[in-house]
Amino acid sequence: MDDFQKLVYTRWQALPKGYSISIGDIGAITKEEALEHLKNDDKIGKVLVAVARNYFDAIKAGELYANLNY
Amino acid sequence: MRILITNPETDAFTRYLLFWTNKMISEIKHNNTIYHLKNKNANPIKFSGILSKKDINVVLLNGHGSDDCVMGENGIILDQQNVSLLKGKIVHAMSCSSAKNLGDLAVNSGARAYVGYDEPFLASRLDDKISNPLKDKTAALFLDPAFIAQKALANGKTPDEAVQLARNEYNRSILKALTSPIQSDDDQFVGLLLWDRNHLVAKTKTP
Repeated sequence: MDDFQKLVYTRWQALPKGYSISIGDIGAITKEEALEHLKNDDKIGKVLVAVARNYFDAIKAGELYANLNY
Repeated sequence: MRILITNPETDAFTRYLLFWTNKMISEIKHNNTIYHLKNKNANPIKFSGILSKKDINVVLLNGHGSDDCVMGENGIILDQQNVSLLKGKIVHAMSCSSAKNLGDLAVNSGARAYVGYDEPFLASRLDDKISNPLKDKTAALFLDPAFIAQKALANGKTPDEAVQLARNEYNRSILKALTSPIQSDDDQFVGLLLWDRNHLVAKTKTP
């Protein structure tokens, strides 16, 4: 895993129990399954990394908070 | 308006979609005629039948999907084989990725618009709320905005208006998650909400 993947992995480790994440046509995954997908860098792992990259790019560009004018 | 809605129920996520759909129907039924294909009725034969006979204006699809298809109860309900049935209709697909390819195909085959997600739709839910999905406040962060677009189309808004209304609601969800109390874990899901917001698109025919 590269540094960014490790960051994503660490963030997912912080997710508490009791949640399921529904991803596309894959269905629901648990935190433990998400971590496995990230470790394997498979199709789902790549989606999770892309989601995180989208998030951090939005923070970097100021886009995340710029749109939250409520 | 005449509205066709599909709701297969094949897992927890599609169960949640059915609950949210029923809630939406209670809000839109007074001004519209609704054909609701639920569970095993969410199949391509009934789907095609209604589209062929009932002069439907709006099609609201719920279910799993991919770049090229939307799923019904026991298989594909919409793909390139029957996408021409959407001619003249406004479509919303609450399913993963179908706006990427199927959306373009639908519009090129005569659909007025195809609103949906051009990447996988991600959502979180609480495991202990499966028996009462509408009480799941975490899932509501995702599904309330997602269904705003469907409701907007049912109320006659344009596809672009529907997408903008949904994006505004996603922003509300993001703000809610960011400012959630310390006991809540909802701030963990801001990234997923942002992803869904950014990947909701309206495909229309370019003039």
